[in-house]
Amino acid sequence: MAWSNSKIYTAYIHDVLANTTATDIDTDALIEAALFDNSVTPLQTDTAAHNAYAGAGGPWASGGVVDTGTSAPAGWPALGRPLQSITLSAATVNPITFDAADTVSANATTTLASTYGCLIYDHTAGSPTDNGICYNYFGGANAVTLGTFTIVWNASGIFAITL
Amino acid sequence: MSEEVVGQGSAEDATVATDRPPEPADHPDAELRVAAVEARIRKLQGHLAVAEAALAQARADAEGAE
Repeated sequence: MAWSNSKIYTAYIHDVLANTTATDIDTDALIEAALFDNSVTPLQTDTAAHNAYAGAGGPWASGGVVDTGTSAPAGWPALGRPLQSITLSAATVNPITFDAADTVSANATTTLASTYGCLIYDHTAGSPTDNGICYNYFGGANAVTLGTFTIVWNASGIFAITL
Repeated sequence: MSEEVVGQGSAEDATVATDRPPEPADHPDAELRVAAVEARIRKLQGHLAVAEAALAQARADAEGAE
């Protein structure tokens, strides 16, 4: 089991359009980036319950990567690191682009192993809890030992929707 | 393990998955999350106010049509 690409969840877009979940990815939302190893197999068309962080029966219920660098590691918690300086393109712009500042570990003594990608999820409120938005594959294994780990988001954004 | 309730429902209907890892009390995002949830509630209250105004108008229109 493994993953090899980055996708926006169909359930996320569907549930926004159908108003079946209270969500937004505006600047006042808390959106997290949780790290995962290569044991996960996300499915773009999976159910919202499965797509959620730690969703029962879903790919993110296990395989999380956390900081193990010090006796009290907090560089990258299991729940993830929050996206900072979130931007959502204007309503009159196509494609719709969601972006944020590069996401950096909380300290410079972070140790992470076998990090293959991350789940971007809404840690604010909604149904399901910790609703999955998209997943971003890093292209292979990434690691750091007692250092700083940074996700450098693509120049075109974390995700973009072309209409 | 609890069931997720997706879709319409009241707060009484809603459940939160219990098989997710607990939020550590010292999680650095804890205060951010409180502010984010408060902001979302304000937005939802705004949507509710709009819907209630639309409902009042719809009822008034229905009474006028009778």
